[in-house]
This record gives sequence, structure tokens and C-alpha cells, in this order.
Amino acid sequence: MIMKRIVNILLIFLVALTGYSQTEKQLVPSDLKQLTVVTEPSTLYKGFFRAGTALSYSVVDKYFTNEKNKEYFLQSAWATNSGFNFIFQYGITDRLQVDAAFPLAINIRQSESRIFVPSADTTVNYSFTLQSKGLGDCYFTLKYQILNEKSNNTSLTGSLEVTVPTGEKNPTDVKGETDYNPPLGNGCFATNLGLKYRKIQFPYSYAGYLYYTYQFPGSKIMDPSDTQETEFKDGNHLDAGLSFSIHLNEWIALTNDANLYFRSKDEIDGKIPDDAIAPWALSYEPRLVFQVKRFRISEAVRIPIYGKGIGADPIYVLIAQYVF
Amino acid sequence: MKQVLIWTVIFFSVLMPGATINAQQEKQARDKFTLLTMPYNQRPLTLYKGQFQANAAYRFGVRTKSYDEHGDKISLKEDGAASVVHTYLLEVKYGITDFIEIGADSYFLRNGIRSETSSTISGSGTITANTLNEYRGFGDISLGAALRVPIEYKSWDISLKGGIILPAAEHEPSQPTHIITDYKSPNNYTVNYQFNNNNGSGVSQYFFSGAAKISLSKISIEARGAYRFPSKEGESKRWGWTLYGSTFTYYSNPYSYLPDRLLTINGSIHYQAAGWFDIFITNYYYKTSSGWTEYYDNKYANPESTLFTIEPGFELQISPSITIYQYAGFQIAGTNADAPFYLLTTLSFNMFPFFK
Amino acid sequence: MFFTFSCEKIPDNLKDSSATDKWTLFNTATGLPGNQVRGTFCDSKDNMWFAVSGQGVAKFANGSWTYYRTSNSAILSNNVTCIGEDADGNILLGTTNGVSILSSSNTWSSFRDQTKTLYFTCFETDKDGLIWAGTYGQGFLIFDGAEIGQVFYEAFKDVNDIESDSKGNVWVATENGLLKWDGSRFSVMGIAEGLPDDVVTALYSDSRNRLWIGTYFGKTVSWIDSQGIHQLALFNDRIVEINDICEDAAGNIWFATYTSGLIKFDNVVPYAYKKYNGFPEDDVLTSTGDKDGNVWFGLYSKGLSRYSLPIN
Repeated sequence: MIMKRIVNILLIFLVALTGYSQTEKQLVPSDLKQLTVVTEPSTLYKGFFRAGTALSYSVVDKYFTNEKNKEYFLQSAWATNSGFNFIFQYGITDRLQVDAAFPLAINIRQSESRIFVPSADTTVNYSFTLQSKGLGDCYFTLKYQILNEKSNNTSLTGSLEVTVPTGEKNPTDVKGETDYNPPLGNGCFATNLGLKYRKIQFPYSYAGYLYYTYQFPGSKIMDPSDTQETEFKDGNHLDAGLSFSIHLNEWIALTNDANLYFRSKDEIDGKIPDDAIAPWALSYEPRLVFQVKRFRISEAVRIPIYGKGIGADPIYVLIAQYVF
Repeated sequence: MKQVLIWTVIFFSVLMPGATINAQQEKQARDKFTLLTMPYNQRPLTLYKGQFQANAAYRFGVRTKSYDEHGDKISLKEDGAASVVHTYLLEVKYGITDFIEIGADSYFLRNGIRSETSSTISGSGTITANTLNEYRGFGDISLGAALRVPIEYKSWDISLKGGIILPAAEHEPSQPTHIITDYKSPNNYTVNYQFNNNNGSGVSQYFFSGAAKISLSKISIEARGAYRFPSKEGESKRWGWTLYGSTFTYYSNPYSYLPDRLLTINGSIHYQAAGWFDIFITNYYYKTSSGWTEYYDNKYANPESTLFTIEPGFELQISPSITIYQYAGFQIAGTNADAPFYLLTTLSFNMFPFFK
Repeated sequence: MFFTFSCEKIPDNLKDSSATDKWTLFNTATGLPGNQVRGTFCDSKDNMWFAVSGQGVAKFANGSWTYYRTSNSAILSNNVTCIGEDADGNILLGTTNGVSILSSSNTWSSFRDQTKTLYFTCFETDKDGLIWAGTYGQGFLIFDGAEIGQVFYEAFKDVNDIESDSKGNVWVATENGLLKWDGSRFSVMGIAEGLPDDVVTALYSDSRNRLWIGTYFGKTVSWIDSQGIHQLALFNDRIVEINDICEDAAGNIWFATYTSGLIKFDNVVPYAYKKYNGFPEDDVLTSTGDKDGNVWFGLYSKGLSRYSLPIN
């Protein structure tokens, strides 16, 4: 039922998007396409189309314990998560924007350890590499300026995002516990509702936002040795943050984002496991945004400052976008 | 020696006519704004008189490979020993005159190096051992003075620099913090060895360097060589331990050492794409030598290490007072050296604090 | 410049770090007179001595070997069973019948009891300079430089090892328990007192004031310190016969065993070196650490193995 509704909503969006793109042509001055991250409105102008890719890279090195201490992963292993997220944005009206994102993920996990069994005269090198590449979970977003920025440089934007489990949710090519391709997707639908308040006072802009994500239940193979899928429901999560941007010169802006992420406990087979925790993290993300005509390059690092039961490694993101 | 002399004469023979011609060219206006926004290809090797510069940098390094004594690549990822190196650097410089500059710099480095996990299994239990060598703390403070040729920069420059690295940072390793986790019985637990190292060198070190720069329109070439050597032997300690039940007791033994001498050579080619944008590629080479470390009452020569790195990057003037530098380091070859890929971002703040 | 330079000179006798963390095997192919090494000893001048079964002794000093046999020296017998040193630096070579003494001035003398056969198994010099010598079948002898006294109890006639500790106690490992001499009287330890077995085969007093005790039929190794007696499981799931115990310069404890190879204890976890993972054989008779960071292991039939400790 829910699936059907989501598909219907998406179809309506796509029809609307196609209709607008056929009727509106270059009605906006080109310099509007060169607005920076500080001066641009919170949604694209009608008929504007922005395409871009976000390159992300992170390693698995440290984490926040359940006692909120930042500690190293101690097992001799190494993992990197990287990928390209292709993002397309279109201004349906001056207040309504639709986004579509198609992430391609490359995840690599390598592990090496040695096992001694003196009584059996045996030493085993336990070494494996797990690698997965491909399409992750795609998501589609609708943003609407509830308070229009044009009037007094202040906007309140509501957003609705739907994540579709397009990524492979189960381990594939399973030849053994240490020889398989890990999943690329989460295996469930999710929807996100959000509000973002933004005020422009050139050369600054301020923003505050609150997003809530509801995770729909799903089922997937949790362990490569499992033969049957397990019912699960990931914890819903909350993203809240404050952002401050400043123009360093006419075409370079620095944005600073403080973000609080909180996620409720996951469920397995309809129950919350005894050892489940509700992870959270407080992060800081500085971002340099270079606006060269219609071309925009952003470079950001998300740095987890404090947290519980969650990764503590920085994520590096490089985004290149162009407005058509 | 004779060859060096000949090359020096040739070098100056080529450069001096250029200097004479340039000296006849129109002098640029000397105001703060002009000096602060001077593009790389028009800048001398040292700061202008009265210019203050503060550089804050962050280097994100991913240590996934190293080179052995034969120069063969070792994959640390496959050994489960890859790690991340976070380095925060701070440098301040001041131009006393247009030809003399003084400066100081230091850094903070954090790197946790895992070793291969091992498990020993018997019918009565399993002991799993993880090892982490953490390097965390400030580095020593380097103080230096640079001197350049006393002529206005037109197309070439030469500078000499010397200084001392003061052993201000803690160099002895702190007491290890090994812990036992998942303890079920004397034969069934996990031991996490954690060694807590500091980044100081423990002894004063001297350094001197020479640099040359030549600019041909938008293209500039810069070369720099530096040599660092220790003033004396240092003393540090090694930790040992005994496990009683699930509690570690520690003891330490002193040892002496002599830090390596370090030769670095780098050369870079710059292209001034716009007044505010310079792109460059640098080759960076280092070689260590002559250091030793005492083990078991014997002095062992530290293995000589070399590393050759290519660093493409850019310099971007954001405003008269702020410039961003960013470059990535790709290791090409080396011996006995870790070879972390790195990305370094520097925010450079410039001002003339005493000029109106 | 602002500073006066002074630069540390580089010594010219630096050791090569690439030679560390390596195993070296010495056997008849490399010149060792035999392939069974039953005694190893490091003297006060850092020379290494090895008792080669039926072939006399071998001395390793400054990188070169010297061999002492009845054919080229005044040694009593080629059947040297143990090696020790007295307080004056004289080398004691125990044989299956008597002791040969090689003085620091390279002159030979010997001691033999004409009334009985003295099969020497070990030597130890205590804090007072007394030499304790263990035998098979005749208890142990104590020599004060002038006179020799014999301590003989039928129950403790077979002595496997003697060790003095940092407190001045002398421990005697016998086939029927562990004797402790505290300076005034003997006491006995056995299974009842917490040892894994009554047949005590090896003793070692380490740099951290722990007395290590190896037995014949134990699944564990014991150690005694100020807090009492402790057990170390060797993870073999079976009885481990300990032939010898030593400590290396890095503080690791090594156990030479019969059929269980060599076991290194890094003070937390024991690791085994056996034939299956590259060690020459599983029967290790003796072990000694030297001051240069090497550990020497006498093997039952494969000669002598030297491990140079890693330096990182």
C-alpha cells in the first residue's frame, strides 16, 4: 500500500517535471544561474536544471563507543567507503524543486589476522577482502519554499524525500563467510520530512534545519551464512543543524555546518535486541564553495566531534555541479 | 668541488643579465594591497618588510603502503596495518626587511597504527591480541631565519635559511595502556596492547636550506634543498609489562639514540593561471641517514630511508589577507619508508600589522 | 648565524639492523662438532658456551668458534652435560663423571670423586659466591672455594636444576619436588603446594624477580613472586615437558620443551615455535639469552639455533 503511494507520488513528480521542462525555456537571466551558495534561493528558479556529482571518501579507523569515548578499531582490518553520487535538481516553479540522486558506491573491506592452535600444530592466516561496487539506494526529494525568499531574503523550505532500495540489499556471490560481495543498499524504503529556515544578509547567510527520517520495515540477509532473510526495521533518525555561510570574496564562500544526528534503536524480527543502542553524533562540516560562472565546486569534510555508538572518521566530499 | 664552482659561475652568468634588465623595468607601486595580492610568479622567496603570515594547515594522510629495504611496495592494507595520519600544522613568519624573514612552526600529529591481530586457541579458551601503536602529540618547535638576495624580485631569487628545532615536545613514550577485555577465564580473554608514543625528537636539531626561484612570465620554477642534523644523542625509554590476572604492571628501561640526519630536495613548476590562481607540481625527495638506536646495549644503525613524492596542487588567493593552498601527495618510490597518500590544505593569513 | 653548531659524531661500530629478527642454525654442516646440544651458557664476559653431546664444548666469542675436546685440551671428558661459572670467572664444565675447570688464564684443572661417579647436571653460584652443583643420583654439592660438601637425601638425589633468586634463596629442582634453601633451612614444594607436578625439571629467576618452574608432567608452567604462586597455561591441551627456561633481553620468557617445541611467552600470551611453522625440530634441550639480544637454543638432533631479537 505504502509502496503504491510512493510510486504514484513519484510518477506525478516525473510527469510534472517533464511538463515544465517542455514549456519553460530560458526565461531567466543567465546571471541568476551564477548565484553562489550564499546568495542563491533555497530552491532553484523555475526551469533551472542543475546536474552534478559528489565524490565521497571515508575510511574506517575510529568510532565512538557506547560510553562516548573516541577509540580506534583495534582489529587488524581496513575499510574504505567511497562513491559517486549523481545528483540532478530541477526547479519546477520558483518555489518548488525536485531532486533525484543516484549513488554509485565502492566499498572495500580488508582483514588480516593470524590464528594459532598449538595443540593442533596449526597456524592459520585469516585474510580476506570484501568488495562491492554498484548502485546504492536512490532518493528523490521535493522541496517547496513555504516562506518565499524573494520577499525579505528569508525562507522556510519544506522537503519530502523518499529513499528507494535500489541497491542490492543482500550479500551476493557468496562462496563463504569471507568470500562474498557485501550489500550496497539498505533494503528498505525510507521517507524524510524536513524544514529549513534560511536568512540571507549578504555577505552572510544563516540557516537552521530539522529533518526526520522514517525507516520502513524490510527484510534482508543479515549474515552471508544465513539462508533466509530476516525482518528488520532500522531506527528512525533525526538530523538537526545550524549553518553559517560567508562570502570570502565574490565567488568563494565558506559554509560551516553544525549537525546533530540521532537515531532510535533498530529492530530485528519485530524486537529491539538487548544490546541495541540509540546512536548519535555531533558533527562539524566546513565547506568551501567555489562558484565559477555556472560551475560550482564544493569541498567539504564532515568531522564527527562527539557521539555514541557511531563512526568517528571524517568524510571527505568533493562536489562538482553545473546549472543549465 | 670544482664542478660545483663551475656550475655556480654558469648559474650566475645566466641570471645576472636578467637581473640587470629587470632592474631597469618600471617599479611596482608598494602599497599593502599590492604586496598582499602579489601573485606567486612575482613574489620573492621571503616575506616583504613588515609582512606577517600565519599558516594553518591540515594534512589528511592515508597510510596504506610502505616501501621495504629493496624498494618493493608493501601493502599495509593487506597486512591489516593501514592507518590514517592526521597532522595539524601551524607556522608564523615575519618579514623584518624585504630580505630577512624569521619564522617558527610546529605541528600536532595523530596516527594509530594497528598490527596484525592474533588469536591463540586451545580447548580451555582463546586469547585474542590486538596491538595499536598510537603517535599523538605536538612536534618540536622549529625556529628559523631566511635571507634572500638584496634586490627587488623581478624574475629570479635566491635565499638561504638556517635554524634550530627546539625539543619542546614530549619525546618519551607515555606508559602503555594495555587492557584486558571480554575476560571469561585466565585462558579466555582479549588483550588490547596500546602503546602511547609522543612526537618530540628529544634533542635539538639544526637545519639549513637553500632555495632558488626563477619566473619566466607565467611559468616559475622553484628548487629547494634542506639538511637537518641533530646536535647530540638523546635518551628515551621503553616500556615492558607483566600481566597479573587482568591487571598490567609496567616498568621502563632507558636507551639512547641519535636522530637521523635528513636531506630533503624539492623542485616545483608553477603556472600562474590568473592573478589569484597558481597551479603547481612539486617533486619531493627525502633521505635519512646516520641515525642510530640502542637496543640491548648495542647501537644499531637506523635503516636509511628514502622517499620520492609528487605533489600537484594549487594556490588560490581568496582575499588580500587569505590564501588557500592545497596539494595532494602521491608516492612514487622509496626505501624503508611509509608512503601515505595525503591531502594538505593550508589557510594562509597575511597582513602588515604595523603599516597604516 | 644565531647558533653555535655542534654535531654528534657517528660511531663506526654500529650494528646492522637488518640482521635482527632472524634465525640462524649452527650444525655439523657449519662446523659444530655435533648436532645434539644439551647445555648452553653465557659467561660474565658475554662469551657463549655450548655442551655438544659426546663432542666436548664449543665457545662462541666475538663471532668465532673455539672447540674444546679431549683431543685438543685437558678437558676431563667429551661428555659435557652442563656449564657454569664461579665468582672468579672460571668456567665449570660438568661431565658425566666430574668437573673440568677452565680458568680465566686458560689453564685447565679438574675435580673427580674417586669413590663415586658424579654425573653433573647443573651449576649455580649463589649471592655468597658458593657454587651449587646438581647431580644425578648423588644429590647436590656445595663448594665454597676451599671445601666441598654434599647434600644427599634419597628422595632428592636426582637434581635437574638449581637457581638462586634475587632474595638470596637457592632453589633445587629434583625428581621429587622443589627444595628451597632460605639461608637457614630447606623446605619442599610439590603438587600440594601448587606445582603442576612433583618432577621439577627447570628453574629460572627472571629480571622481574619471578621464579619460573618447569615440570615434567604439568600442563602449565608455574611462577612464584611476592604475591605467591601462579600458573601459566601453555595452550597445548596436553602435558608439556619443560627442559629449560630462559629470558631474553627484551623480557620475553622462553621455554625449551620436549616434543612441544619452543614456547615464547611475551608476558601475556605464549606462542609456539615448532617444526610445522619453521623451527628445526620439536625437541629443544636448552636455552640461554645473551646480552646482545640473541637467544640460543640447543636442539636434540639439529644443532644449535640462534634467534636475534627484533629491534622495533
